[in-house]
Amino acid sequence: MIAFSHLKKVLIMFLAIFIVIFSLSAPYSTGNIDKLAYVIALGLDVGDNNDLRLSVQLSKPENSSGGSSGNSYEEITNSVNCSSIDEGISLLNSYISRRINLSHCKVLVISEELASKGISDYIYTLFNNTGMSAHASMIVSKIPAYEFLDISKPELESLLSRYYESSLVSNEYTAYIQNVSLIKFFSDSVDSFTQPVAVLGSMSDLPIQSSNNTEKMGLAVFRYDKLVGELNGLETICHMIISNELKSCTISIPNPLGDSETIDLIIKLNNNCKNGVDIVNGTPHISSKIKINAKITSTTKESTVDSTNYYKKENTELIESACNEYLEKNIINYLYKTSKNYQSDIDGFGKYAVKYFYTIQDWEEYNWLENYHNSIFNVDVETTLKSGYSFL
Amino acid sequence: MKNNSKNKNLIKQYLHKIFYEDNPDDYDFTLGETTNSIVVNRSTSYNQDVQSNLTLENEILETANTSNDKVFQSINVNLEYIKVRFNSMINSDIKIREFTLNARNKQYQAFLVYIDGMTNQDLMNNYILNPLMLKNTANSFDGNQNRILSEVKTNNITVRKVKKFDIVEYISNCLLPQNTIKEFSKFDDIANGINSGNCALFIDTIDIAFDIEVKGFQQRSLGNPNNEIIIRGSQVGFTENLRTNTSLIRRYINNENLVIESVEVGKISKTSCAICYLKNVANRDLVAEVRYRINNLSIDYLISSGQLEQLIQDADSPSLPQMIATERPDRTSSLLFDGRVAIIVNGSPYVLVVPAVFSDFIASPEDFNLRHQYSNFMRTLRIVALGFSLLLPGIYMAITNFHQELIPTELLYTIISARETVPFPVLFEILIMELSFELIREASIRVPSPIGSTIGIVGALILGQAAVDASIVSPILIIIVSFTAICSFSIPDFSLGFHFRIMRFIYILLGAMAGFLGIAAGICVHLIVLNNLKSFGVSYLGKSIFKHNRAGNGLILSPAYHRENRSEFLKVKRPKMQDDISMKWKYRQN
Amino acid sequence: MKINKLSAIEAIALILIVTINRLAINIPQAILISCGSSSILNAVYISLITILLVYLIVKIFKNFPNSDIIDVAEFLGSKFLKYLIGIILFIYIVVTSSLFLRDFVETIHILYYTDTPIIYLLIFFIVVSIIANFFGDESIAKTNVILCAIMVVSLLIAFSSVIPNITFQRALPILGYGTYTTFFSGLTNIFAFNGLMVLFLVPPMLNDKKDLKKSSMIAVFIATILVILATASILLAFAFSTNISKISPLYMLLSNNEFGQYFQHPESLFVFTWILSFMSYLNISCMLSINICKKLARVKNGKPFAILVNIIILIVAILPKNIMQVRELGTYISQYVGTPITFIIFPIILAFANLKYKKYRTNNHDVSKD
Repeated sequence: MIAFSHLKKVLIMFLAIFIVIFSLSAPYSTGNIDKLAYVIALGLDVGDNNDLRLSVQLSKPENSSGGSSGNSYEEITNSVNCSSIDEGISLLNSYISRRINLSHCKVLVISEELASKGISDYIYTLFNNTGMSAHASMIVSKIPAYEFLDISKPELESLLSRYYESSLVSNEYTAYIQNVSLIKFFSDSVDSFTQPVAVLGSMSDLPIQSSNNTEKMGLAVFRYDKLVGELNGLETICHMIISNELKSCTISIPNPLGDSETIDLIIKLNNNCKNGVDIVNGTPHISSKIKINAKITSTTKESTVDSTNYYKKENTELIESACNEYLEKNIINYLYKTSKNYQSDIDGFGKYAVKYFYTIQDWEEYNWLENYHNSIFNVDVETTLKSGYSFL
Repeated sequence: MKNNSKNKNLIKQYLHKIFYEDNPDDYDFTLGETTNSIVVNRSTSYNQDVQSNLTLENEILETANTSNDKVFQSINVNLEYIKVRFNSMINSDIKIREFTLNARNKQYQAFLVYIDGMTNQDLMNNYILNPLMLKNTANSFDGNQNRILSEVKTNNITVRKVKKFDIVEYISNCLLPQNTIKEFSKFDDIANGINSGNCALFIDTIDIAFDIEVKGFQQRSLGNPNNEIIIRGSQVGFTENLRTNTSLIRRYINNENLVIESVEVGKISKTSCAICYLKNVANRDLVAEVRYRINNLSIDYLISSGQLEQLIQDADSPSLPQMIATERPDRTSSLLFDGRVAIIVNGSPYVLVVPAVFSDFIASPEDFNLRHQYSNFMRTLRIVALGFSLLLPGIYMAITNFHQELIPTELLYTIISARETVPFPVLFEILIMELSFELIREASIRVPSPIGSTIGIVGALILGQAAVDASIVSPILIIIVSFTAICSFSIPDFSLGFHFRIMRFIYILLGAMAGFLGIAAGICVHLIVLNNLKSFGVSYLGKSIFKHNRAGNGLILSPAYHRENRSEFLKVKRPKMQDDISMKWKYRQN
Repeated sequence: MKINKLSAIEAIALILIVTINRLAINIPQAILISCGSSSILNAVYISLITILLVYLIVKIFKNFPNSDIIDVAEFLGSKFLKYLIGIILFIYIVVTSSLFLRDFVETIHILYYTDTPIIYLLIFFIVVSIIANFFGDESIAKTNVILCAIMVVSLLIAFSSVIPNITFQRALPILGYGTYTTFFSGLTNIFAFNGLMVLFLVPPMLNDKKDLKKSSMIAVFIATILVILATASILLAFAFSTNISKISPLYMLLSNNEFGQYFQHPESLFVFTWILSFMSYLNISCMLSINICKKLARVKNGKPFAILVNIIILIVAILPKNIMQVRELGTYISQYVGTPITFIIFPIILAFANLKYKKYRTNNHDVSKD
């Protein structure tokens, strides 16, 4: 009797806890970890009737019972015709047994055809979606996106996401692509200083190949939000040099000493490039001073002989000037290509031109991006040979 | 006819077996109300007959108040009184030894009262009964033993003033070679003495009794502190006897300013407790507060220091420990040197030290012995373990339910593939695993020792592994639960670890309800409760824990030569512990 | 009744958290949209003006130790002004904190809890606030120190995570939309520091009256540095900061970080710290409102007010229909009610009170203050 009031308190507390526990299974957390399907790659194509074709690539773990290590994974690609991205995701939700979740999306593949028509709507929609990961790399593929996703299978890894992550990091040592994320692409597409680029992907055309696989080489050049052209590997290297993104890469220059056709060099940027823009009568005069550190990797039998020894002073200077010429030529070609053919300033020279303007209204009136095609370029490369390998 | 009656009897028997009443001779015992308790109506408002307001109270007995009973002059009356009071007819270990006492050639009747088992027989025989009963030089008398106070000689007549013979003084000063003797005239004091192991001596024609110290009961010898194990430091721990414990503290402190006040708690048990402090260091108000709280407890009995801790602590509901309970005399001494107050309870090897702040519970007893780099490393590890043991399962719940993008993709796939075959949602999995872990922990304490060690192996490894194989839980959950358990074991203080064990369940529920929002709400409320708590006037989570203070008990310990100040929150009388340059051999000032 | 006396650090944390808790959500955005590329200039400009104003306010307060704006109003205009100012302050604090609460809850609803109803999320904050106010001012202030420190550290980490992506040229053209927009109409951006209203209520709570100057200057200094850093990092990192208004620009900032390949998307951790700091802010707002009620009603025990004030906040927070209404209302109240009150009306009251005080002193009257 006396303890009943205390008992009542305890009972009410237990009741409250039970209610709380059972209300947790209410649909407040539909996002339970095993009720979601995590999309690794998203693909956009031109579908039938000029609609959109949305493809998703998922990864399914095949686990052995007991949860022991050493899972193997299977890749599944699904695709559907729809009129917009969100409608496509809803349609896929009805087909796939779990709910689609984009927060682990590593790669966004857009087909060439779709990109030429303009993708700003899709980019804005995807960027607006809080569930979409902003780190996803942008790839423009020359084959339809669905096929691209289908043939992307990890060879050296077991997990698809790790395959994508590793293969896109190759720009650090080959400089044949630039790893552009969704947020950088979006930022560039609304930027008044620069234009966006994306990785160019295609089916690999190596003749001896056991299984088909994709190749990522070169960049796709955009103008505002439309695809206007592409760059091959060497031009991408030039782009990386000018925009200070180069970490290191290997180039082959014609050999001035004659003991072989080409010399292979590993080049790195010494300092940031000094880019400058002069606006003369409304025409931009762009100059660029580039300093490069090089390292010779190839050797021939003759190169150890005195007369063609790479590391003697005269020969070093010859090699350096050959490298300078080679790079200057290629960079100027590349710059005029983007300026005259594509009319797209992907290197971001706009930020060096903006210092002449004091207000945003003036700058917008000048409209740098439209004036880029009138530019005149002047490039100066200075190579310093730092070392070789074990032969000296 | 006979068959019929036989059948009828059988039927009756069977019917009786089926429909029998309870055997009235069945043994039944239930406890009824005693005649000593009365029902009191505590209602203060209108309804006078609401049942819930009735409480049981102790009836105030109208029997004799013994506080004024004094020793009688007649020994027989004293003997009867003692027999009634101590129930010596029923009690088997109350012993009364009657004998004849010789003093100055006179013989007195006397008796000794003592409790068998609590007294030292040798002491009583050799040093009480022997000098009192046998004839020796102290006993025999000849006229020359009168003590002469003054002598005046006039005209061949000497007038001597002689000290009157006082038998009480004679016995206590000359006859009893015993180191502690008290003279009592009230029976209450005598009874207290007998209960604590002394013996009482009653002598005819004297109206006081002697209380003689002859304690000699069995007790545990000094041993290792079982629950606070350190690697490098003294290995002696407190025992159950109050006097032994105080002697251990005295040996460390070695100073006459150490005051050990004696207090009795409990109306029936009269457990003796001791309040220890350094008189020239500890804050007077703190000591007064401790004394006030202990003296104003109206309880019947006090058995252990744990019970005392709960009765004098500031706030009960946060379930946080507000006093340090330690088994080590060296730790107690260093805390006393710091300016705190120690409370020792007779019968419990745990000593309470007040006041206590949060950073004291993260400290291990060894922090002062080791180099400060090692101690700081261990403290950092412990703080990290504290955070994990409280929050890890809750954060796992929050992340898997609401914030999946935090998990790296590879780990995500591992979790998903592990959860493929598990039928329960994550919340039930965690609760099942946590509950079974708590059960294993509890079982391994209670199980009898021959199979004690096997419980650990059986429970943890095999049960966990089997649960994974049977797909009841996922393996990553086993890792999380066992890591949490390891972290909670590394908290040095037992009570704080318990508190975190309980709070962990609340965080799991909060994480499942609302992800990081729930956990943030939990952390906010937890911090507010912690900040509101005061332990004997000192705020529990005060700002002193952040300061790299030079007292050696913040979160980060300073080197031994830098611990110049005592803790600021204790407001001691002697703030500096060391000179600014304590290593005078190194930095000689010219 | 516990005497709530704050030490210097607690006062700093109090002022700081009220000022910067909106930083994570909305403030830099307003500056960016209105000023474009000259946002940094604008931010520095309003910071300097704020520091100057705070210095003046603190100087004026020197003559009235241990009294807040309500006591000063009573001194100036007797009971009428006291009740007027008290009621205005109470309504303002309650309305702004409930609007902020709704704003913040809508933000995290959009980001993480899309399926849960708003009231379920609101209840978490309100329950925490009720519990905190039951425990008293001292524990709120002490908890606030820890949570404010966590918030500042997380903001600094957020800013430093975006350093690899900074292009300094995004701050050009230097004058943005023009001198007028940057310096004159951009002056209304000072509403970013509306939280400094708490400076008028802090003096009676301080332990040591000399602390007022020190703690307020330090707090304002740190707040201005954080605002400038926030604006700078959002402006310089992305190109779309000035054209597109997002629900939480700082959140977008964090999604670009490169903490490492395996530690992806740490935004949730930062949002966790923002939630903690917002809870602390709500506790403090309630505490201040309850103190105002206690002062106006001359009541010693503030606990019954705790539930009342929190329920009022909950009701006001449920009223708006959607987040657009909340933002609109919030901006309107901040710009047209908050800024004039904090930076114009209260200093004027203080100035007049000072004149009256000097008049009394020169007439050798014995001035008695509360």
